[in-house]
Amino acid sequence: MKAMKTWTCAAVLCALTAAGSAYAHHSFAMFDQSKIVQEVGVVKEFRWTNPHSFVVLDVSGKKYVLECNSVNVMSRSGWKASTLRAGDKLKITYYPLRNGQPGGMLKTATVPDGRTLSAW
Amino acid sequence: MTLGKIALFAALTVASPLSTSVSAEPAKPVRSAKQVQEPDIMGVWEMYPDPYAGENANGFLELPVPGDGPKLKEPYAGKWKAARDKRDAMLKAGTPLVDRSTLCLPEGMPMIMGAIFPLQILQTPGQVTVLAEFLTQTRRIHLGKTMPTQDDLNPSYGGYSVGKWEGDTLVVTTRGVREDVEFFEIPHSAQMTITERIRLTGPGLMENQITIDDPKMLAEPYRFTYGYQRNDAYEIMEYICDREDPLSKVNADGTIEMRLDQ
Repeated sequence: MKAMKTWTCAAVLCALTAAGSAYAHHSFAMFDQSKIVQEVGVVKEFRWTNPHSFVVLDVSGKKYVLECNSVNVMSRSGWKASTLRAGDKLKITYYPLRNGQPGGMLKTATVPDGRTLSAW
Repeated sequence: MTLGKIALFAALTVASPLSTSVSAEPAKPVRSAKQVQEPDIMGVWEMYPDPYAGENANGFLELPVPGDGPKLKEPYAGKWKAARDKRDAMLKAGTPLVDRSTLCLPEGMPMIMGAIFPLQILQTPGQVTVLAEFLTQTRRIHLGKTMPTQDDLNPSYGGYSVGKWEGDTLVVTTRGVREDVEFFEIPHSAQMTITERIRLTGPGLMENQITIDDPKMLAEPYRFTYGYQRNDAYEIMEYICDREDPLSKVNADGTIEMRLDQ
């Protein structure tokens, strides 16, 4: 947790994801919407599915599960089923779980080709 | 759709190597002479104004109950308020309760017309069809048909819908919605009738004035209006949930929690 940078939602970051659609099939209340955490890790798994895609990330030996949007919204934000593969290095921002568990809602990911894509 | 989304979509279309083989104007299906006399509502429609625009673009908006909310009779009014208060308290605590949407159950009527994701409307002889992107739901509106009797209605998520054109307005009557189908948790009985008045209101704009009557549970008809904007460049995608949500688990107390055991 020492390497983690946490800050409240800065205007520039909020604007970055304005292109993402918002609806989830469940409430966002389980995520801390006031915090955006930055992290770098290695992709263990990327599941492209509905109701939500997700990324499992290895951060210095600790596993994080990161919820993404549904396939339709991800597609329109530039994602494909092949965007991430196990072993890819990934820089992310995410809203952490409020219960303190290692996971959250993926906000952005800087994918291997250099683009920063919105996951929401 | 926000301007940001439109810009992103346009950029992706231009950048795509497939774009050279795709016509800039989406092809429109040919309509029969009779249909041409009817207003052309065929196409893809998205909610307008976009509830997720502006300050709600961060994605955390909980959709509000439309209109002024229902005027329920007692004891339904008290029960509904208690359910909503509990829901709000659980959201505040960060432990949301499971709901039918979380379980990927069909929205049914009238929620499907709330167009969480866009709706595609098809006009064919004798039928108007609504295809929702969310959960790949299908809704058939039978034109010129008679509503079956209560006994002949098969309770279903979308109910049975009959429609007729009254001038520029498609008037749709729906009955037979399953009593466990929820619309903002508002209870309804087998006596519920939903009436929709769907009409074009301007270039690329459409509205759906919805009236819910339920003599058993509602003290007065519940009225609200959904607005839509045409976006025929939007291609509806499949949206079918996994049999088991790999990310969510429902606890014994009815709360939902993120699974971390992948």
